Amino acid sequence: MPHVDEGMLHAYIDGALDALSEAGELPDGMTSEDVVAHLDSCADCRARLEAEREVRERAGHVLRDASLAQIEPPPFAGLEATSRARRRRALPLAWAASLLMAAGAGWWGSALWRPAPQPEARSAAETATSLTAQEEAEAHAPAPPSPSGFIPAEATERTATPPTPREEIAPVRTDPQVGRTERRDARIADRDAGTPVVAADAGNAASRDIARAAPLPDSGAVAAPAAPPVLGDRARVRLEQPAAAAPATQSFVESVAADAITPFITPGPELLAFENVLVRERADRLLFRALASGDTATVADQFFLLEDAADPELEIAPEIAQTTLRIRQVLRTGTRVELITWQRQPVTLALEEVVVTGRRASPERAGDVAAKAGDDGRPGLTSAARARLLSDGRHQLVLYDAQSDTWIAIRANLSEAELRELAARLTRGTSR
Amino acid sequence: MTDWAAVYRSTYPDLVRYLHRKVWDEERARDLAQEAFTRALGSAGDGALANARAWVFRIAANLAADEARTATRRRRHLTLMTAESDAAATPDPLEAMERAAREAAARAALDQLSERDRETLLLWDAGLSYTEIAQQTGLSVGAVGTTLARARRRLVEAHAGLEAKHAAR
Repeated sequence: MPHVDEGMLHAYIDGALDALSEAGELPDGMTSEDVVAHLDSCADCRARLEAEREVRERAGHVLRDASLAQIEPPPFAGLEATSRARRRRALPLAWAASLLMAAGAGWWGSALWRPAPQPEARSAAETATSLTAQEEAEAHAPAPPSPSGFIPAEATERTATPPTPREEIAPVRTDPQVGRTERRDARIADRDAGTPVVAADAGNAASRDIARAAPLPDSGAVAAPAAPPVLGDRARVRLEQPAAAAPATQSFVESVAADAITPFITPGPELLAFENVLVRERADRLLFRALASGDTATVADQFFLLEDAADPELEIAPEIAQTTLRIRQVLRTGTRVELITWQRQPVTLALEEVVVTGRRASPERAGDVAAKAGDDGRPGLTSAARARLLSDGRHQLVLYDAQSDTWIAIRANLSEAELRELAARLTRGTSR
Repeated sequence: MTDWAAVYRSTYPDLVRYLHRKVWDEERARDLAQEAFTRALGSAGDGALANARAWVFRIAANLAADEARTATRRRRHLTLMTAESDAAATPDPLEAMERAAREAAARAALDQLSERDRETLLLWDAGLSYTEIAQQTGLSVGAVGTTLARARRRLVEAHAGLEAKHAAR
């Protein structure tokens, strides 16, 4: 018998030889008993079996690391009720959809028998720009509903074309179409008047976009000219809207001061280029993940350095946790030391466009933590008596800084005593 | 008739674990598991299914694939929020940090596997038999063992490589 391949070895370890046998996928008409007998008698295959068993076990360890600990299923009754409710809802909806489709198909089919539209009809885009006030009024006239509520593309195309004799259905205009036409009218009016348009909702948009909004040229002094007669009322109202509603003249600093929050990263498009890169604007604040607008970011406002060590290599550690900062430093001896700073309750910020702001700790809290600090004014590091050997052969010492409620893990190829000595040389890397 | 309550109780934890390794978001994994069961119940009705567990996993795999295609941005946001809430709730920060580090390393190693290898490995780890995995992945039963052998070896190698890289830095 040939040696057993690794796939079969794993099937054997997994207890799946019978499944292979039942599927007729063992070679040369062998049975699972034949494979077992071979494994008993062949030392070479047994050795490979043990090696594969170890691989399987180690893979199991890795998978367990990526596994959730406790998973309790919610009550089944709730699930059953949801499923039943969905089925009850789905049935009438299916009927309604069928009826709608049938009616729509019938309507569309009957439209096919009508003569085609005249070629002289201009496109909606061309005609919309030359609508007269009368046509505009006609376009806004209430239209009788189509038989099925279904509005064919043909009907919307007709909105700006003169009705032909065969057309019995009045033009139907949807709201977006109206909006587009009016916006176009407004642009035409602006071009004629030589003034910028200030949309009614510009204030809201600008307040969301403080960083990117360019100041409007003399926007506060824009005098709305008399609207040309072709304009609809709505467009005229937009032009008459006071431009001062847009806070474009408010600087970033002013807007931040108004909210009594402290900026630590200035706004600007360059921040977006720092995606996933440590961004440091001020020494006492670190943002270790720059994100797109609308996301939240976590900052660590404390980090620790070793005195007399080489320039630290600061690094965000997204592979560890969002609240962790990792700092690597090299001692004169060449020993690499890894400092991991972890805060129990890091500062969480919301990013509004590219403006990043954060609140400082309240004075009450600052006084509270100061009371816990050591008498000598040192950071008040307390060894948590947690030193141990890591799986990669390095030692780790864990310390706690009560003043900033920060945990620090020091990892290096050093003894526990040497780590404790290093801990004494630890200084806070902030400017507090 | 399928005893869905029993299937639910026995399958739910494995299903959530499987989905979590696909979307890397615990809450989302739980939501998807609920949705998979709801859909399975809805489509099966009162009839009997030959293998309800495998059926639920198939639905879940499709849901996870859809999720991966459409929810990148939302997931990133949720991941951040989850990390924050985990951090606040954990009594021992170092323990949490190390657990997160282990999970990140395992995740990175899993991400280095090919789609087929990863899927086969995750389905096996979720408790599906070779026959069920074969039905779900389109592999032959014999190829499941070979695929698993390769996936396990690559997972271990990738993980070891990451650890070595980490230690060398």
